[in-house]
Amino acid sequence: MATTPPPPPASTPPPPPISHSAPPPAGRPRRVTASGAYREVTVSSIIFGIVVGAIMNAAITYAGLKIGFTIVGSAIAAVLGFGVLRGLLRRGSILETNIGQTIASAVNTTNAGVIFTVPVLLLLAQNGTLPGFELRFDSLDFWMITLACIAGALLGCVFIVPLRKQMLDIDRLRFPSAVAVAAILKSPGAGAAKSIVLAVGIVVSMLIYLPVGLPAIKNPARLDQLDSLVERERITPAEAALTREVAGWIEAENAPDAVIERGRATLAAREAHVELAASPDDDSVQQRVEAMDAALKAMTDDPASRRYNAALCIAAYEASAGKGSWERLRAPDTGWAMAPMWGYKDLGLRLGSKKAADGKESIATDRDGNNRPDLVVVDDTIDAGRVLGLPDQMAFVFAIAPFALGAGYLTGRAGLLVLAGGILAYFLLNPLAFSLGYVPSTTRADEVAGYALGAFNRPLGIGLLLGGAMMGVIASLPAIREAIKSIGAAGKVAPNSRSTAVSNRTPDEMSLRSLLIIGGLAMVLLLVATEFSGQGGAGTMTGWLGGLPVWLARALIVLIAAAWIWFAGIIIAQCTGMTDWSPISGMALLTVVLVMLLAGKEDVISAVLLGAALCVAISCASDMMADLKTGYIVGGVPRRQQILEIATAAIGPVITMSTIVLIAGVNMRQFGVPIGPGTPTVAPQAQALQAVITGVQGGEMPYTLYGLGAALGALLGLGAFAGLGVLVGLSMYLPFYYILTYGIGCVANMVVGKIKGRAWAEEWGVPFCAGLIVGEAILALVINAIVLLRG
Amino acid sequence: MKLAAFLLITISLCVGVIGAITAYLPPLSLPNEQLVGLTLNAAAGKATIDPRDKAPIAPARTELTPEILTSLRDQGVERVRVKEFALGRWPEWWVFVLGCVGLGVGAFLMRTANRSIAATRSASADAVGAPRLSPEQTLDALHSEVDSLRSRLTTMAAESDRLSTILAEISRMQQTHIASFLAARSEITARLGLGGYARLMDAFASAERAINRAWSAAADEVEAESLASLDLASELLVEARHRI
Repeated sequence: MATTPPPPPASTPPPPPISHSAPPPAGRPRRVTASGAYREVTVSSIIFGIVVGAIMNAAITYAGLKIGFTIVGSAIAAVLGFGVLRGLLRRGSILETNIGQTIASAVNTTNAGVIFTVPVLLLLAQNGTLPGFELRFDSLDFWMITLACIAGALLGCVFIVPLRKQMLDIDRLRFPSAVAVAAILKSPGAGAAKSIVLAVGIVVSMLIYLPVGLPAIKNPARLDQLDSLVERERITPAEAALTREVAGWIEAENAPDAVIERGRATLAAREAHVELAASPDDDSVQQRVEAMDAALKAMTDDPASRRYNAALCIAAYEASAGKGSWERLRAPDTGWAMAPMWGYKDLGLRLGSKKAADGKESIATDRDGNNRPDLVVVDDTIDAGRVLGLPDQMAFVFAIAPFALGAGYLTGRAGLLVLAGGILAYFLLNPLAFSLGYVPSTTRADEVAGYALGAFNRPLGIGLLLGGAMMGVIASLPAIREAIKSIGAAGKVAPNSRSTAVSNRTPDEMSLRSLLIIGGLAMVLLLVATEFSGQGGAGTMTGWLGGLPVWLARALIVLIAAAWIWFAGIIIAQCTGMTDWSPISGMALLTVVLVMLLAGKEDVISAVLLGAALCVAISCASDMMADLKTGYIVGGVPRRQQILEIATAAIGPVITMSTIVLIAGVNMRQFGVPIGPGTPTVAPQAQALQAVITGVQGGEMPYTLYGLGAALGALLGLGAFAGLGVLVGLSMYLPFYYILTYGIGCVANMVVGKIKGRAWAEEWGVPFCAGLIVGEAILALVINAIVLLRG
Repeated sequence: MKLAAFLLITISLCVGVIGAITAYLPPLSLPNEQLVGLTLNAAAGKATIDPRDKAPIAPARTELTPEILTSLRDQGVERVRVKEFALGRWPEWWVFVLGCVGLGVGAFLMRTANRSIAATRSASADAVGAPRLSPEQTLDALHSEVDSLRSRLTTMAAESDRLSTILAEISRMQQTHIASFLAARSEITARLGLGGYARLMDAFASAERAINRAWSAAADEVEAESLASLDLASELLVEARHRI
């Protein structure tokens, strides 16, 4: 029965309607555009992202070539965005800062892929494998390699976009670093307490990491410091002796004739090499260079002068000829002892002394043979196994790495599988292999971990990754199919949607059509780059595709490479998503091996070019997925991030390649070689790839181990958890000392969750661990910048 | 059964890896015809017994000759690491195959055990009438909270109160209903299949992202965006509810 409603209460006025258009009080930042929209994609965020990304790219390219240091940069860009957009400009919203860091990391991330691969071509030119190869702005190879890297960047982005739903929405991959970046972005609204916790995490991380990084900053040692440096094992007795000897030369303003003559000959040889580079077809110059090189080699091989390096000899020659100062000999590159700043090693924590029958220190406590008990804490690791008295072949060493701790905590339970796999590999399988005699007799028990990593752990680990990822893709096919169907419907009015708000909203993803167009364009670019670089379309192929017309073989190689890029991108994104570790170098090595097998072991340029494209592709794929995860947490529209990353993808490779060319040009003028040993930019990662290429050409690659590992990885993925093969593969691929520290973080997450509850562990643990990750990244960047600026 | 499956998988993995390691480690007990001409990929033998002396009998990249093989055998070296692989030089291939078979059986046992556990859990929850929310109820509760928040905001006069309420309530929703719904993945997948779960999460994830956006906008004091995002989240939750 209907009833009359009660009369409204008297005298209480109704609440005013919510006014959305009233301006905020004067002085308060207004995080909306002039048209009143919430600030997200703005001119300032785009400019900020490109400028910061470009600066980081160039700087980290140099750092990577000089000392092997690279960083994705999302966390740095987020902190900078916070300071610039929100602090200085006083209008940056959370989403706007997210856009800024998305673009900055996209522009920066490509450098890791390029510097790992491209410099190897210059190294191979020096050792005669690729005679005459050069990278100059006016050389076709430069532009083709740059084109290939741009194509790789586009392919990486395009291939990974359709997997966003499956990885983030369905599988809910964690992406610990992305969670950390989101914690920074959200700190304004998280409340003062959480911001303080984040700041405490940053400070704690910096305090822990400072003694790890500080020893990288060194000053030329004084003579009265030498004994102390030897005592603290900062330098060897041989280095101290050399320093005293050189100090005597400086004081006497004289050096041995053999040293001066070698310096003169070295300089002359370099000038001859520069002359040869300018006139490569001049036989007389070539002959002169060969004669000079042979004479120089004889001087260098002389046992009396072997302990003196080239820089010392050159400095001595120039000083004796009046072209330089004798003080120039007091420099790090001449072999003068360097006194590092304080680090954990200076704590001097050693094992207890244990003398052998001959009165000398036993090998059990003195592995390096300096007749002193070994240090258990060095600058970046703690050898807990030796303290606990574990067998030598069980490498129970922890890395002092706050980043790994934080990443482990943020990963949580899934990371325990990586820890378990590492324990299995390094505590059980390696010692078992040692006791069964599978390790060379010359390998001591304490060297087993290092030997095993290269001989079988890493190849099997890469195989496990491949097989596990393949099984993961097969298991996820229904979800992938739905995700692609959903993308295909994006942008159209959803006929089954029950709400106009839902059907009229901005689509989440870029459309399949636009992805196909961009992907097709990238494939064309890659094919053009492969056709016109190096041997190009001419010549014959000697690999598995050797019987086909060259143009067809190259097209097939590009297709296979593209498929491989797709698959490798999935592997890298999954690894990063599950654990924050990404085996990019392993995937790059496999790419180079694959292309060399297809095209022939002589076609190194194509192999490296496609390797560079793949490295850039998978770096971009991993970075995009991480940025999309951050965007998901803060509520960004994925499509906007995707469009901006693809639009700015080409900038990074151009900057990186240009930086390499500039550095190579300066090195050629100064040292006669473009890159590598003998220059300040030794390119350590490219040297590793060079070793692999040499290995492929020498038939030393353990292909069977990759295949056997893939079989094991696929079978592991058959169980309840499809990603198990990937996680176990990763645990065998990574050095164990990082896995242990990372595992502590995972265990800490479980313990805190058990004691304080999951909600508490998440609410307070995430900002603290985000601080751990960010703190180490910032401090590492600062310390490396100081090292680079000081030369 | 799950524990047995886990143990079987672990042991089989170890067996498989040990078998795989021997692929490039032919035993020196093989006849010379199978070994001569192979190239060492690691040093073999040891010249002296001094633990600090690492000089080998044959360094890496040495081609095996009958004389080198004799020296190595005399020293008791049982295996060497070579560059070349051949099935005939891999006597422990069966160890690897055994490991693979064990992994296959273990995977089957694991899947069977998981299916059994899921079925038992579901049956006991239904039978006992355990006071836990089903995924549908969780979605309904979340939708109701979003709508209730929306309504409550209209009763608040001060913008600062509205914004702080949005922040607090969304944080609570993320820790309660959203977390509970995500934890029910295996139950939902068992009912709808992976494809159906994917379709459901398509809508739910969009709703969650809209809720996250509402939080960010509130933190940035852009109330209009926050409210619009809450409205969108409410619509998307209805869509998700229909898909489940």
